[in-house]
Amino acid sequence: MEQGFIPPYFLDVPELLASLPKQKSPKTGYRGVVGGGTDLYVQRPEKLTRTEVQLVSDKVKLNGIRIKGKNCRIGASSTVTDLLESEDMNRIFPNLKQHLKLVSSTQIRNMGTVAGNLANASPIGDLTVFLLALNASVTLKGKNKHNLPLREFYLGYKKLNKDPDDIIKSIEFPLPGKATRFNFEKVCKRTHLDIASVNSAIQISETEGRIRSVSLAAGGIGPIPAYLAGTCQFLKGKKLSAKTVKSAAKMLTGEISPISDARGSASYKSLLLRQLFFAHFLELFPDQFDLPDFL
Amino acid sequence: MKNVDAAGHVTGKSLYLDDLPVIERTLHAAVIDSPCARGKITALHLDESRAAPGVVALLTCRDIPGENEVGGIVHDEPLFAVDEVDFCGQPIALVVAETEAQARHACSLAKIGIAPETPLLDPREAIQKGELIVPPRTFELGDTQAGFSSSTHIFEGVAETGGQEHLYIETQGAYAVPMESGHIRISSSTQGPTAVQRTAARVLGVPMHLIEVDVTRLGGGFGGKEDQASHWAVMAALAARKLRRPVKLVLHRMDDMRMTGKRHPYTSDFKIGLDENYKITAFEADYYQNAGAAADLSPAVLERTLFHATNSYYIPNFRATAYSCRTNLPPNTAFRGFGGPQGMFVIEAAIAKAAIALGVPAATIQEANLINNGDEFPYGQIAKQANARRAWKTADTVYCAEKIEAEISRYNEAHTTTKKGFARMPVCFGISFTKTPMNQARALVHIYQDGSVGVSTGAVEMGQGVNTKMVAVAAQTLSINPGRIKLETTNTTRVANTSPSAASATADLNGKALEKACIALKNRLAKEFDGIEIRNEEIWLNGKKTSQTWQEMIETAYLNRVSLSESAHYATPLIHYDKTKEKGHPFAYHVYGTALVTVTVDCVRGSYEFDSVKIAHDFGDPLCDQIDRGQIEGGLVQGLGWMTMEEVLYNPEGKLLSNALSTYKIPDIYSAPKTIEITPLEVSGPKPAIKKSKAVGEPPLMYGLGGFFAIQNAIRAFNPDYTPQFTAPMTPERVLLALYEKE
Amino acid sequence: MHELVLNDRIVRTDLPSGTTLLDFVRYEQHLKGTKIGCREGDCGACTVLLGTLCKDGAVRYQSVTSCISPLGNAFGKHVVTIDGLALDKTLSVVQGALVAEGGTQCGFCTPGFAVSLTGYCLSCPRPDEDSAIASIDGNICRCTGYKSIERSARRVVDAL
Repeated sequence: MEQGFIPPYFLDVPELLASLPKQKSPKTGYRGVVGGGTDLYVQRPEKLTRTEVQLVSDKVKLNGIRIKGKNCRIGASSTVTDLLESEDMNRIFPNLKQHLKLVSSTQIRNMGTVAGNLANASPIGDLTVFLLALNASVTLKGKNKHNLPLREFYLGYKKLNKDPDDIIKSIEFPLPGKATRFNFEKVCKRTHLDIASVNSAIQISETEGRIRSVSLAAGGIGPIPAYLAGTCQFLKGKKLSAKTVKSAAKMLTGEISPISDARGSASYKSLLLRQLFFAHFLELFPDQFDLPDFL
Repeated sequence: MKNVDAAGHVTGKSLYLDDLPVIERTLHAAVIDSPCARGKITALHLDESRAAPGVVALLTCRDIPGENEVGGIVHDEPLFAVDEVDFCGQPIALVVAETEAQARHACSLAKIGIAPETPLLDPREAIQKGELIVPPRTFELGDTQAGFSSSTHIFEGVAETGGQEHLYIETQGAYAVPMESGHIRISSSTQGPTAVQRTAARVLGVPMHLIEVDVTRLGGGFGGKEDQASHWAVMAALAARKLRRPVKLVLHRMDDMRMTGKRHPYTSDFKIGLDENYKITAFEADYYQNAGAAADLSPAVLERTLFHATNSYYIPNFRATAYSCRTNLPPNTAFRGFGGPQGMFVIEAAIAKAAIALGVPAATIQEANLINNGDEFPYGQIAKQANARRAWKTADTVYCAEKIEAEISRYNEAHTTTKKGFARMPVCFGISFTKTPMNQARALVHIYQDGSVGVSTGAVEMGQGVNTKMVAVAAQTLSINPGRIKLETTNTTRVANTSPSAASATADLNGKALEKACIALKNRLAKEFDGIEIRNEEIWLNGKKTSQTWQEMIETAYLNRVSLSESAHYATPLIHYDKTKEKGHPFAYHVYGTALVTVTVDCVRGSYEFDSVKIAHDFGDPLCDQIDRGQIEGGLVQGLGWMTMEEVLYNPEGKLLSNALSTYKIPDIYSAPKTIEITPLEVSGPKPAIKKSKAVGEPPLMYGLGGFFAIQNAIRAFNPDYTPQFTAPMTPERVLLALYEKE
Repeated sequence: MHELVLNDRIVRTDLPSGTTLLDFVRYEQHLKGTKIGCREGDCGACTVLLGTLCKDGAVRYQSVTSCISPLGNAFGKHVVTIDGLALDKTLSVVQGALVAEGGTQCGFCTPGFAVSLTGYCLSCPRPDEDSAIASIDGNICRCTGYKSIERSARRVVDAL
């Protein structure tokens, strides 16, 4: 241990911890599970603070990030820090650190679970938008174990497609192919430690100048984090050109319904989504496109 | 000089209000406030709250023995609402319970019936309805009509600045403990212990000497705890008196943000005239201050807007009128700069507008009009030791401003997705309370018989380092080791009738009083001991060092029955102001500086980063260099925050939307400029500055105004169709919409 | 009854697992060094370190905002607050760096910064300025403008 960084008692701590009995979980007074608590304690602290809660952050079965065949499987209780420290995730997403830097803060990344972000159902959930563009699916456990595409998980504003007692067990997404590129964008009032005004993620593969497949998601432009199916449909198979991008951008506005609120006016959010859409192509195809091409 | 508080801070040992040990039988309070911005109270269903578990009492306006009045300048603000509510968040009742959780739970059970009326939120609308807090004030110099007639160019426009939430990291709170015979001791997180004392005495209907207010330190103040700490302290005292038990009231963050006032938003009209040499021949402005529902400090803030309407410039023909407009928002209050930044924004906007129209850099106009010695401010004071030009030239030469501008031009030509913007921000800020009677202070020094020293002043430490400066003054004046000096808490029983720690004048006023006390003690000891001198704790006699120690000398003085205590008083000399003529010499001196601000705007996303802020600043001879630089860096970043990401948002019903840290954003570590450089002007301070060290709390905030104009210049570099608007804050939304604005 | 190691000792509590870790530390254990800034996880004033015993016998530390952390997530773990970072006669490297560079003014956010930076020292394999700054990206200061805190972080990196 260190020279003058921490007091000497730190050396005794591993032994002290090992000596502690296994901690039991008594009957809970709150319906539902609690992961890191980073959303629940902001929204409904009075329901949680004086009662026992069912904690899932440390459950072994809900943790771990593994490649399973052609999929990547993320345990529900994985934190954003777990994503950042996963060799597999960093290999699949070379810009992962840059993208996840825009998500909350060091402390919150240490605490918040991926499943929690999805279950919180914020229309602007960063990880939700990220995973939607990866064509992710969620595995739920409750009365029955079942799996459904993340795209189908949201029925309306904060309305989840699950029974109240179901919990998310894991999240899976197909491993991106070799020619596939991925980008995540997020703009807020303050670049870091802020909730997005609009965020967006894209997974796109292109060969011989044509778009082979594309998944596009955005948050902050409707009641749920949205998969922009119409725009994706339009882009698929088209030539990767400025004209295509400009036309697709026009389609985008038809698929979204932003509202004016503390995070921005509706017209701003529409414009911002268009700009983030352009940003995807500027980031992923820097040799091919420059901003004036799209304007 | 080492910061005397830093070691306590980094070990978590510094004590703030909520850290004070809780005495047995302490009760906890929570406030029931109005959910509606305007209306008549039709029903107060508080029985469920009263009957809630742990609740001991529920206090309303009917429980006030004295006056239901907390207003300072104008008596227009009740502690608890009576028949009507005037803003969302207005206190209506106080719940007192055995635990904080019980008190808060009881609050949630209250049902307030209000017959709502349409709230007035816009100051321009308020003035049309005659809703003014005080009569308008006008400052005039020369003849603007003649000035405009002789102008070559005239430009008009509108400039607007928004509110700003103080966001002291420590929220408001107080802890009132009843002592003997009606004496109540209040620990209060306040910048103004005397204001708390006076207000509590009024509300409780007792003489001031029965209220003792004690402050150890604040976890930030910025003006938000100058007058508005009193409300919570008085509520706690009221409950403590009634229930004869200690009562603690600490606001949760969202309650604090909802119930307290902020920096005054302003909307202003300007008209500027220039001659062919870019000299400003005339300037007129009308400032509409959004005061909120009660006066609080609005009249004083209003006045300072006028005092700083010309910023660093000399304008021979000037007329400005300021209106304090009553609206249905929480009463707005002091905030670092105190109306000055809002006034300065307007003149800088006028200059920017003129510059853009004339196709010249704003700097051309700024430099042509900088104030010189002998020039007259519109309020009659003559500029002395005016360092405006010196600061401008220093920044220009030290930082090679021309080179920066050239580099930015080249960058903008070469880049399509990002553009850089540059702006210069000269600052001139007057130091003294504009209300002359407030420019007084007292200090109390005890030299204990073992040679240790205790110092009390009226200064409240809130991070500005005044504790360290007071220790420095005492140590330097007595010529003893700073380690021998203990800075006491700020307490109304030790120093009475104090002005709040505000106006950047705390170190000057309290330091001068302290210096006087120390000099008196030094002289008394010298007289007693045949003319001894104290040099770094050594006792010297007739130019020769003696073997006596400081402790021995003090012990002997005590045994000789020489008083080792001294209290001294200081009132700033020479300042005066006549409100009937709006002329005088209100400021002891001015502080000057110039900042060069560079920003890079991401034209795809509308976000931006400040590359650098390079400042030439008028420090005088700093008492503690590190503290003063810290004030510059901190003030600048707070000012940049005000101009960019900090947006106070209310909905049309007058309810605060930006009511938490998740919706109101202040600069984080990545928002600060990549580099901040500070060059001192190397000119000593004038006599009224303590040890020639110039006041430093507020002036640097105004360097942040440069951030707005730098961003605007970057937008202009991207979008030739952009019509410059002068509405702050320049949020990423405003930037993006401006980048893509079509003619 | 549940157990955890709080700073230098084992403590037992029968507070429910849903209690916030912040309230446990301040009001049950009476350790007042950790501050309350927002109760929303947005300011970092309440930062503490949470240490988990790993299979290899080492303890892995992470910074967390205790205001939104359930006490239950600390059972069986090591909780380190600013109060538990005091060295006997001197300031720690992190504390000394903050003092030397003036990285503290009103001091209210300072315990959070000191804890976050100490957590960084305990957990970073390759110290550099960028990652040191990243470790305090969840700590908000209203007074300093951050540059003095950056300078403090640089000092800490140099010492590592």
